[in-house]
Amino acid sequence: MKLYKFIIGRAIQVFVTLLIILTMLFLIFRAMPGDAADMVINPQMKPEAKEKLRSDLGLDEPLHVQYGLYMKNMLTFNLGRSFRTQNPVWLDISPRLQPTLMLFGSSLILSYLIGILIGMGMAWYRGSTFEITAIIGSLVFRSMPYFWFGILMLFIFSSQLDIFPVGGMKTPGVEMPLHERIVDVLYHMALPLITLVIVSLGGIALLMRSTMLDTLGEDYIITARAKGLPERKIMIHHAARNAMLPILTSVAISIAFIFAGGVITEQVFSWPGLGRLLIERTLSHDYPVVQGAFYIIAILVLVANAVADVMYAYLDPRVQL
Amino acid sequence: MAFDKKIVKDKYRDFKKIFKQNWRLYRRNKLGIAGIIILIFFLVMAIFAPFLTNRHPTQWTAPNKDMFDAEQLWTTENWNANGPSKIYGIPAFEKANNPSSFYIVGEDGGDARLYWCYPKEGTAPTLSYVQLEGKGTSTPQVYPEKGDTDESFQYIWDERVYVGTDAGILYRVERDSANNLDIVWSLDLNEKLEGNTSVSIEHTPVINEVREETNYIRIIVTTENSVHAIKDTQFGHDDPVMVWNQTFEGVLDDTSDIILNQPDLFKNPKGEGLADTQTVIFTTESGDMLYLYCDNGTLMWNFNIEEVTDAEVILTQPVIPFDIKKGESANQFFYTAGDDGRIYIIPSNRTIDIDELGADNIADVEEGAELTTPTVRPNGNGVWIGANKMGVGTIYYIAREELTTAPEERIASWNFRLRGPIYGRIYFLDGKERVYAATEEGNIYCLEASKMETQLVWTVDVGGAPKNVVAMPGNMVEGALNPALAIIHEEDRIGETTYTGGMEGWEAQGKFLAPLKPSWASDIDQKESYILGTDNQGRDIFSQLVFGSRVALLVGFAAAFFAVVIGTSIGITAGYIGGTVDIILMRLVDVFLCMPGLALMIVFISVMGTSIWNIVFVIGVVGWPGIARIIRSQTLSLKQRPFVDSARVTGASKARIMFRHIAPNVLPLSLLYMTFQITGAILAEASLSYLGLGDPTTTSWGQMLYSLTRGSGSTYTAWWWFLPPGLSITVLVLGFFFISRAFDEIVNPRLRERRR
Repeated sequence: MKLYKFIIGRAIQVFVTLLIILTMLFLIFRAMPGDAADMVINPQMKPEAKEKLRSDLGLDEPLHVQYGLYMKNMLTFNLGRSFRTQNPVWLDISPRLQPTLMLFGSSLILSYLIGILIGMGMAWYRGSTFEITAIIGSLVFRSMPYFWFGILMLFIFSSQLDIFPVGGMKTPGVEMPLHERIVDVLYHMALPLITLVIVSLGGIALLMRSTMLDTLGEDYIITARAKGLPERKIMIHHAARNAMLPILTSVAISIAFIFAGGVITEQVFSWPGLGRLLIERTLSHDYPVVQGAFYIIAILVLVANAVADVMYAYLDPRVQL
Repeated sequence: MAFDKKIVKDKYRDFKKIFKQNWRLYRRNKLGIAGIIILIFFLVMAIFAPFLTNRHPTQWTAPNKDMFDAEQLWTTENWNANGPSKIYGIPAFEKANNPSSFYIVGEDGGDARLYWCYPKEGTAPTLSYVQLEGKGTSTPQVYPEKGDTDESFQYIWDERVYVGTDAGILYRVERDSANNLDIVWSLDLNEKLEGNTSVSIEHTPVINEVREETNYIRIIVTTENSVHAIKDTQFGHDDPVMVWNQTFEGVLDDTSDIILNQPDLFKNPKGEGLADTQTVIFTTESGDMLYLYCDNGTLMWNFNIEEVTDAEVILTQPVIPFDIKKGESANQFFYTAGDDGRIYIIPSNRTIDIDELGADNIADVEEGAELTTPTVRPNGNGVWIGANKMGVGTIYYIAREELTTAPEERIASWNFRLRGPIYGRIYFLDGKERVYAATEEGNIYCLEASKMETQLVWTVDVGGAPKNVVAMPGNMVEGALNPALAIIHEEDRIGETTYTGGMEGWEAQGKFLAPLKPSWASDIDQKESYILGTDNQGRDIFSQLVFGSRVALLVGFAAAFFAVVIGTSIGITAGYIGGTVDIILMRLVDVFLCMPGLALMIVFISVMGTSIWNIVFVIGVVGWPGIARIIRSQTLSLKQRPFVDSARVTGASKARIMFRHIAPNVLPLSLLYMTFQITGAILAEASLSYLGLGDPTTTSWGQMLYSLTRGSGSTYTAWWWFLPPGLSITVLVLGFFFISRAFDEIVNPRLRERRR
């Protein structure tokens, strides 16, 4: 019952945040100096058509009326029409959702799983060559621009070794039965996924290491040792389990990080996702789609954060619901 | 305030003491020292950039021809007295009999002449000519086309050439076994047309084989705003018959400015409702497309592109992929490009249904650029196009998987920037995978181009006048296996279609010019040395790397400073004032923190435009919230200290307490977070530049990688191009990481303890 209330509270918070983001978007796209109409109306239209659309969209109204109209449109997903394709924006965005969710979701899960394991090992084998290598590795990967790491991966695995394809999500122009199609998509996803996991891994591993080091100093570890429990059991069941909770709180920042990294990773590997759409349309000044794509990405991030929060609250009995 | 020497001296002593103390602490961290060394290295690089390299980072510095000569095979200068003094238009290559020879229209005093020319390396070419009536002419059309004839028919059909003149006369000319040219017949259109007595034939006639009567062909001739079909025999020398003519005056809404472009022909469309009918497609400069039956000149449909684009667009001539012309592909469509920077892909078997021509059939190339006529691969799975914008020409290649619609991403697979606007169109040699283009300044480029990448094979400068370039399909020179190139020097332009000048043939072989491997890794003997090679634009990588350090450091420091200033002031304000202000500000911080920073930056940049200060601003705006949160918590604890209370008691204002009493105390923390921010800012700038959102007037490491992946497609071969900028970013960022960790230990003594 308490969890139920918590979820509702969190949902309201998500909504408020969304309103703030929308206000920000309004300020960026409508209230910037210059003719706001340039951001909404296709510059290639004829003057009469422009005028008509102008009054339809209420661009001549005072700013607060425009704001109300804008919020209404955005909240009902009435995102306008693309300058370039003339399609309703949603039509351009919707096919990009699934690839993005697939890539980002799997890399989030994988980087957490592997990151926690590595961090655990780093803390447990403190002072070993493994720890030092892992620390240096994480630092180097954090310093590396992730698109460059992607290019490097392409150079090694696609160009030199010829193991993976250079980009895209499926082999074009080939009809395949379902199971082959799934394998084909996974085959194309391998490189972007590995890239994204490796670059986001470092931060998680380092965090896990430091929280694990803290828990290793706790009394209950000494007690467990005194009881004569096997080392492996202490490591996993006593130390790691307790060290993992603070890791979950970092999910919010990790999600933002993976989305930011994902945007550019999609570009490197020509992955047909939302991030690529955002970049592509930014380059061709297709403002309605830029705005729409960012809006959808923002919603995805907010929802992912809220889910992580609820999970955390569920997992950690100390959190007051 | 009076200037007091003692105060200054005291301050200096204090500062020195603090510095010494902290340096002692800092020194203990070996990685911190390494970070400082890295920083100094790049600072020196940035400050002394112009002295480290004498090559300009954004200009061509690779050798032009000093070691990779494209060999000139012949020129009109060594043609004999028989030869033309001037040449018009583009040569038409003979197809069936001697593919190394060509027809070209020229003059030797007064009237136009049609020349047949068979050039040979080093010596004078074999030449013959015939006199035509008129001053300027169309490009000759040779029939039969090579692709149309199989071995058995090749010598049965009489090879002939059709050419029209500005006097409105169409000629059929044949070459006999002694290489003499004879006029078989001439047809004066002015006599055939009533009322209109001064037509001129401007475009190359197109040839349509009449299906029901196999002994005949139809020649479609274009004059200013009308089309004429003339029937001629496939064998023998019978007189021609005018079958139909069609004028477009009154047919289209906009009769005033119909200017027909060169038409193209669908040979054997087998589409729905069009079975076995042959059609010809026209575009006009006012954006109309016209689709005609060849049999009787009926206009099947016409369509103005304005209905799709909502804007007036001047279209280039239509281009139909070769396989489609041959009827080997089931998909019928043609390409045309507009002066709005877009390629339009139009299905031919459409009825007049505007909605059908959706965005799937439009490919954006470069906004606001003027496009050349597209060049399409024979099977239609790729399009080259030149885009001229602000005095710079760029060749784009768009790979197409789905043949009937535009590519999914509608962004070019690669592009190549030339030193000047492209003249004429781009030529592609099938089988050789080579692309040729010429600039108005007179440079010819030969690129080897696959689907994913392009490399410059050679470039020559043929002098100052505008040039046109044609890739020759045959063997230019006996014994040479590679195709060669013919160039027309344009010296004087009369009207729109007349060119004069000379020709040169160039060997199409050559070694790769750019991207150039580093001198030490190259097996070619280079006159000049390139420590890190060049990119595909012939720009020195080392120079770009050196100058790129300036942008990285500038943006890194400026953006971090900006973020720290905002973050610190907001943090102090929220922490000290508290209440509603605190709640609102912190809520905003939360929103910013859970947003993907890069996406937010992209949105900002998309609206604000790409300049280096906008990038600094955007990185700062996205970077402040983390700092604000930390400074706020620090302020909350400082607020409780006695010195704040005493300041309040003495009547100091809120602002004074915040900025004179609290700010100096949070400064070390701000500085620490500034070093953290710098790493983020450098990476963010690199990312934005990599995405093509960097300042185009500067050279940065991210832009080097951008031009690598988006600009050339050499990503997967040119290791000397992508390794240096990426490594530089990594090392510089790592250096700042080390510095910030060492700082961290000074500011947070707790860390030092744990270290032991």
